Amino acid sequence: MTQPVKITLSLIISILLIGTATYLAQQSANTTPGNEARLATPKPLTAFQLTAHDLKPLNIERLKGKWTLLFFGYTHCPDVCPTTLTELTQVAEQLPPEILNNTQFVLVSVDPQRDSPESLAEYVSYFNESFLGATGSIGALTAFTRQLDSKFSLETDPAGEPVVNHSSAMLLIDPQARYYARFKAPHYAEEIRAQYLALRNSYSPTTP
Amino acid sequence: MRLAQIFLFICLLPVVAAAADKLEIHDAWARETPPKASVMAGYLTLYNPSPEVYTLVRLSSPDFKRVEMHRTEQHDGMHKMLPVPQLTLSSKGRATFQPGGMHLMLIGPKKRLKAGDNVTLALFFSDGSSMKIILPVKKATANTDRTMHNNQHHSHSQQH
Ligand SMILES: [Cu+2]
Repeated sequence: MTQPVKITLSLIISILLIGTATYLAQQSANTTPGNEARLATPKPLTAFQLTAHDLKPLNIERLKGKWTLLFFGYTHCPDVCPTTLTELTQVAEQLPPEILNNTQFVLVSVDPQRDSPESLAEYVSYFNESFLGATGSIGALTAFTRQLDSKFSLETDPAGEPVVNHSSAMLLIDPQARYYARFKAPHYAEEIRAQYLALRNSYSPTTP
Repeated sequence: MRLAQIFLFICLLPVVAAAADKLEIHDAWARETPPKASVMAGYLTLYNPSPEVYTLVRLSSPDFKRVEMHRTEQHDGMHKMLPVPQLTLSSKGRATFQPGGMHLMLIGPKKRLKAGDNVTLALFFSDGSSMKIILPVKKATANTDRTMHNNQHHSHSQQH
C-alpha cells in the first residue's frame, strides 16, 4: 500500500471506531432514560394555592389523578420561556393520546405583578390550547417553589426594568401529587418525552 | 468624461473600511410572540471576515421602542438574562445570537408582528458606521430552536 492510502485507511478506521463507540455510548445511555431524573424518594406535596389561568385554583387536588410537567417562568421572557414552551408543544404533539389525556403541562409565572391569570391564558394557549398557566402571591409562589427545590428572584435593573430570575429545571409530579422527577435544562422535546415515558413505564403507585 | 472617471475612482478608494461595509449577517430572524407580548426575541449571526476589529455599540428599530442585547445564562440551576452593553468582533470573529443564548431584546412593539412580517433593525458601530438589516418574523418550532442550538459553531450552513 502507498503511504497516502495507508493514512486514509487508518483515518477511516479510526473514524468508524470513534463513531461506533459514540453510538454505543448513546445506546447504553438510552436504555434507562429518566432514571437519573427521578428522585430517590418521591416527595408528597403539601397544600398550596395558586390561581390557574381559567381563574380556578391550582392546588393539590388539581394535580391528583394526572401526571404534571411543570416549570417556572414569566411571559415577559422572550427567549428561554418560549423556547421551553415550544419544546413542550412538541412533546404534547408526540405523546400517544391515552398518555396525553392524563398529562398536564403547567407554566407557573413567578412574575405576578405583570402576569395576571388573564394574560397567562392568552400566553400559554398560543403554544397549546391545553397548556395551563398559573400564578399566585409572592408568598404562595415562594412556598410552592421551595417544595419543588426551585427558586426565583425579582429584581430591578439600573434602568428600573424588572429582572426576573428563576429555576430552569422542569418538574414532574406524579398522579398522587408527589414531586417525582426533575429534568435539568436545556429542555429538548425528544429527551423530555423519552424520560417521561420511561418514568411512567417503571412507575408503581404503591412503591415509594 | 475623464474627470468623472477619476472622481469615481477616488470615491471607490478604500480609506478605512467601515464596519457596516465589512460585517456579514447570517440567519437573522425574530421569534413570533403570543398576542400582546411586550418583548420579542431576535436572533442572528455576525461574522467579521476583515482584519479589523469592530464593535457593535447600539441597535434600534422603527418597529420597537428599544432594542437591547442580552445573554441568557444558567447559574446554579437558575435562568438569568444579563445585558450585553456592547459586542466586539475580532478579526475573523463570529457572534451568534440564538435561542437560549445571546439574543436581541426587541422591547415594546409598536404593533403585533406575526410570522411573515419583517423587523427592520439598525446596527450602530463604534466607528460611526451603521447598517440596516431585516429580520423575518418566524413561528419557532422545536426544530428551529434545536437547529439553532446545534449549529452554533457552523451557523453559515443554516438557512432560515
Ligand atoms: Cu433578554
